[in-house]
Amino acid sequence: MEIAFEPQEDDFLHEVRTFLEPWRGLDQFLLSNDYARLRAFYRALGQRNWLALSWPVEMGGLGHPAIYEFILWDEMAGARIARPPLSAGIVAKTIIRSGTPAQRARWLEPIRTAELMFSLGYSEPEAGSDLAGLRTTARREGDDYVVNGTKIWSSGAHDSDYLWLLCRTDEHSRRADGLSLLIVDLKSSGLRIRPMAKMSGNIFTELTFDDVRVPAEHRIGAENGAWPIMQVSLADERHVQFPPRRVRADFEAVRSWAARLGLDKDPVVRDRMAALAVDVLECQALAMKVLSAGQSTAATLAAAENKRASTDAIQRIARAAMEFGCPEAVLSSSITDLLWRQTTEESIGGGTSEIMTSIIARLGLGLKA
Amino acid sequence: VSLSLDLGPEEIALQDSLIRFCQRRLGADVHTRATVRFTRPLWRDFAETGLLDVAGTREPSSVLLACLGLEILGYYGFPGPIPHTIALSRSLNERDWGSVSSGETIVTFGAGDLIAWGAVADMIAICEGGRLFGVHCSQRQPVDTLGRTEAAVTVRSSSDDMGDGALALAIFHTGIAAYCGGAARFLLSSAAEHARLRKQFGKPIGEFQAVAFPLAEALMKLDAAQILVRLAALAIGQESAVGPELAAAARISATRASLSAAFAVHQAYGAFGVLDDGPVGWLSRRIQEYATLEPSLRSCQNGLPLRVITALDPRIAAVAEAR
Repeated sequence: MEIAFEPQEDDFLHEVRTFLEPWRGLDQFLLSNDYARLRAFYRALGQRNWLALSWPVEMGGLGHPAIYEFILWDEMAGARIARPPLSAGIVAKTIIRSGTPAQRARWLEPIRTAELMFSLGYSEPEAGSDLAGLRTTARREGDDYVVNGTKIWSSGAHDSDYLWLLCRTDEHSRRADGLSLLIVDLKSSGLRIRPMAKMSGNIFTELTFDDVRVPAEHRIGAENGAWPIMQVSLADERHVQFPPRRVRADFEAVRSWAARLGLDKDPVVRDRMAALAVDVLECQALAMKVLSAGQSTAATLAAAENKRASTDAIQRIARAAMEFGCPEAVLSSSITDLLWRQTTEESIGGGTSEIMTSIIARLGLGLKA
Repeated sequence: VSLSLDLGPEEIALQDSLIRFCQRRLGADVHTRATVRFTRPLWRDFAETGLLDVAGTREPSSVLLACLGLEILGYYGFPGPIPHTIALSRSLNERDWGSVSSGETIVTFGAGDLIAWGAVADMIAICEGGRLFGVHCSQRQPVDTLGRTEAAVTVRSSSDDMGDGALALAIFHTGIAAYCGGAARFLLSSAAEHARLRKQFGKPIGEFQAVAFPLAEALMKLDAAQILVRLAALAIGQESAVGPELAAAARISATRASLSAAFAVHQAYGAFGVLDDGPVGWLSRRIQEYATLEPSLRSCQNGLPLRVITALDPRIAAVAEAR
């Protein structure tokens, strides 16, 4: 077992913490719909080339191991500043792996510098966890695809530049076989974007495509070949899917709140907080398991355990605060109210708890539930 | 990857040798019996495996190796005061430890008057008020207990102060956690196999989420607890300042994970799961007793300073600090 970071990784951790100081207060997790400041933040990361930490050097990246990305986004999550942008993660890494030289030249540089931001167009009203059942179509007409359908639950599409769209390019193929990935300009004619406020205060969007034309050169990977590409791209992001410092930050917030109100003297509260403290440690342990497993099948299991355990933990932390017998917990200005509202969504987005549990049952116990 | 939780060759070899020992000494049908009775010859054979010698070296890796061994012994439900003995590996003097590690003297460890393995032990040590005491008893009344641990209710006549008890307590918490985690892991693998083979409504019951999900959740909790137990063992072995807190956290984590697994397994097995001589009952009973007896889960929780959270981060400061 080797559980300490290398000295250069520790150096990077300290560099990240120093960098983050002026950005504290930007809170993409709980409060902020301040997209202008968020973009500025991502650009600041881009200036350091930290959006391309693990990209290959020949693609403009720093060529670091994945653990550097973990360190960066774990610190971000602990400070609740921002989540990893889709553009530099799933989008860029897929283009690096499956894009043509021309596509790499077109897209990677503006993604690396955060000039372009992407939103994700996967879910549909009738295709959520069962993504292969999606119905949005892209019909080839000359040099374009013509897209029709509806996407939903896309975060921040109203303030992004492009959509990473998963759509059906072969209506006769069944399920996952006829799907392709397209990059869609969010200012395209025929595309309507409807924001929807979430309980947390952040914004979901619904996107309606009415004969939206997308250049064929914006297709990444083979036509009808998206599914295997997506499986690989999911593996790219496991190590940053749910950083443990987010769990710890929520715990610390509730602990500080309880201490400020004098609740921490109550033995019942102390007992509950001790149990929650162990929850936090368990999440840290499972995050270590994800990092340790690298790119193996064990990493898929570990990532599912980490996501499920972490989202359970933050919900237990937030809901515990409501049970400490303190009415102030429900004040809209309170951290407890914010946490209660926000944590509810975390067991749904990025793979529901039910999907995570199915993965654990299948890979860990051989049960096809 | 610079960070790796994979076991090294020495650690794997130790676990493999204990698997072979348990299979040879307890028999392939060990898990189908009502319980494995403790005997002195069995204990002497166990001593010959050398696990107690490893625990007694006081090397930085010795507590981790002992806990890796306890995971296997828990998996097979090996009887006897093994975590209790290992708890004292750094507290007994050289002469006493020599007698204990050779299997000649049987020692157990606890708190209060009801002592697991107290009926078969030659020596009893307890932790009280943070101090470790060797106890002389005027009476030892054997009692049947839930976990069939050959326990005794003791009446003390005198006791010898053996010094600070924090280290023994930390090793005990970690060792019990490792043993219970191993036991629960057997229960879970057994229930998963049952769920793959047992058919109802025309398909394996493991294809029903109502059966599979509690088992999957139990695996998730056991996996997290196992990592914490191993980290605690490393930290204690390296005499890190946060070792005791990590040990308490590991005990809480492993105890609740093991109990949760045991209860899920009882349910998944249906009526088979409540047979006294069935595949679940006796290990489940042992886990519950180890969770309940003092020094207990409860005492861990009360004593767990919340600063454990701030003392740790994903790199586990305990080890970085020792380095």
